[in-house]
Amino acid sequence: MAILETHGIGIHFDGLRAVDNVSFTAEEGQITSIIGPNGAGKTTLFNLIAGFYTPTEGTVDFEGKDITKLKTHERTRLGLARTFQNINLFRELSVMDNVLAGLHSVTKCDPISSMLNLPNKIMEEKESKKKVMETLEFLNLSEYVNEKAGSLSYGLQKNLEIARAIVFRPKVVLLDEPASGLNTNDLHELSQRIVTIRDSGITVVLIEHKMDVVMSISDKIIVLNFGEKIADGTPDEVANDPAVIEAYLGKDE
Amino acid sequence: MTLFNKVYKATRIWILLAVALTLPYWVPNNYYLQIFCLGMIFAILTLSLNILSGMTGLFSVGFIAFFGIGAYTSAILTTKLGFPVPLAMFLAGVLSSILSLTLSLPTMRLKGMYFAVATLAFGEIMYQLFLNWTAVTEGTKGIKGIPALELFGTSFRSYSKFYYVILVILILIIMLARNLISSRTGRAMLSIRENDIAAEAVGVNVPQYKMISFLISTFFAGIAGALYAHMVRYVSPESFVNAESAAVLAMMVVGGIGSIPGAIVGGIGLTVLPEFMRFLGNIRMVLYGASIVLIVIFAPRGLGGLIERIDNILSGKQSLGVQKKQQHIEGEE
Repeated sequence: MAILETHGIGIHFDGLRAVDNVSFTAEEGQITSIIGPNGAGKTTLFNLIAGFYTPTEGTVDFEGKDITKLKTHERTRLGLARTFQNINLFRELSVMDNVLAGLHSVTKCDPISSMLNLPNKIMEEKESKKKVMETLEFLNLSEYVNEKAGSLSYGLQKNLEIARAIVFRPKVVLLDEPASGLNTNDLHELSQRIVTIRDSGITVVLIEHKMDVVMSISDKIIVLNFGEKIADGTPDEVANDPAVIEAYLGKDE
Repeated sequence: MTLFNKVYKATRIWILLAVALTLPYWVPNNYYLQIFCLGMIFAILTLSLNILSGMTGLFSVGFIAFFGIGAYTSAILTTKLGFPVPLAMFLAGVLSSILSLTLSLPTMRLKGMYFAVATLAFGEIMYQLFLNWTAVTEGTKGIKGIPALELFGTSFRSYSKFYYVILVILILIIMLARNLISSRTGRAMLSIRENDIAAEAVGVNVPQYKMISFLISTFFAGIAGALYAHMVRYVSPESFVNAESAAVLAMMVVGGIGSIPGAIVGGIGLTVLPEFMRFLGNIRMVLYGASIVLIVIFAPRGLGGLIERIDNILSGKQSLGVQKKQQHIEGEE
């Protein structure tokens, strides 16, 4: 079943067509990867799906419902989470608080109970912290729980981004280049983690440049070039598609 | 951890409380006590500003307006409409909160400097209102004869009694602010300060939480204003000029942005300091300014950061700096 779909979505900035008439579907329980050369519009497509940009054409459907008009935080509430390519953590807050903040959309405590420490707050905080610790363990971040997010190494910050996005068990998580800047060892670990995330029931949509990661874990790949979709299919199909080879390697004269 | 550390850790809160409770008995005279009471009221105001600016990152340079709204509301309700003082004080907070909507709703999408300028304008508008709406505020004459707080048959007219009212409210607000920081609501505010794009991404309705931050912060500011009105028992527009907003901002920065102990020390310190320097004559305001500059330079995290450090050293969590660095390097190896 398609959980996330775009129908002819596009956006142009002053004549520049950053994303043009892109339709794709992400099937529930799968890893769908979006690849393409630099500047192909991958992150822009994410921003359209997550609601950071309003498309100039087309629609986004989530679980069969049109969410094009919803704001980012409303989409998160429906179960659509994301990470950022250029890390957007709460730098001055602890690792714990960063991931706790990730639970915002599934917790309820109101400002009054928050300030008065009413029983519902204490219960919720306790449960939240438990969930955070489980997620941190999964991402090997447990020992840094009290560190400031901004003081972590680049690789750990990337992991923390993932922790914050998946802690509330979204239905779909958009991962924007989680592998950039990681070494070979970490890459393998990351691939396994993404598979584990999928197997735990979270649909993954992945933007990635590292082809070995993409080819080994994707169920389906979408290829963008100059804002347009030029191919989609299984890793094998895409790898042998002449249009894709041309986009990446140039035309054979 | 040495024995001293343990004793210190177990007793620090009680020592602090004992000092606070006995203060009126060992302050040399009523005048100093009055200054100290005023300092505590400014500590509450600084704490309120800290929720808006320190926690949510919305820098307000017209914050005294809400203090003024609180003071005038309680003054008018008690002198003209005969409300009981405790109810009037509560309503002062409520009205201050409600009026904050007239600032927070139009400035919802403003950031940084643009937001600051809007708050400056709001401060000026409120000042003009206090000054010129004579039918209600009595204009430059001010409102005289504001009744003192009376509760359970006791009058809190004297500073040595009203001191305890301020103390109780200060402690209450400290507790509320502490609870807020470690809560879902508080984290939403902190996340807006840190990175509003990521805040949206985790599901925080950014405009809504900015508004909530405004409501909470201005409620406390209104209460502080009401305390001021019933302590001094006279309000006039001059107490709420924009320069006072700058003073509160200085209290927050000197105390350390976002720090609760900092807000208390900053609020009390910067109120008391110029009074203690009175013997220096005309040069005292220069020295007062210089001391603020020195604190900002040498304690970048403010007095609050300094206190935290001393507290950590005394309770054995941190040794005197040098050693900690060595440990850090060893850890890296």
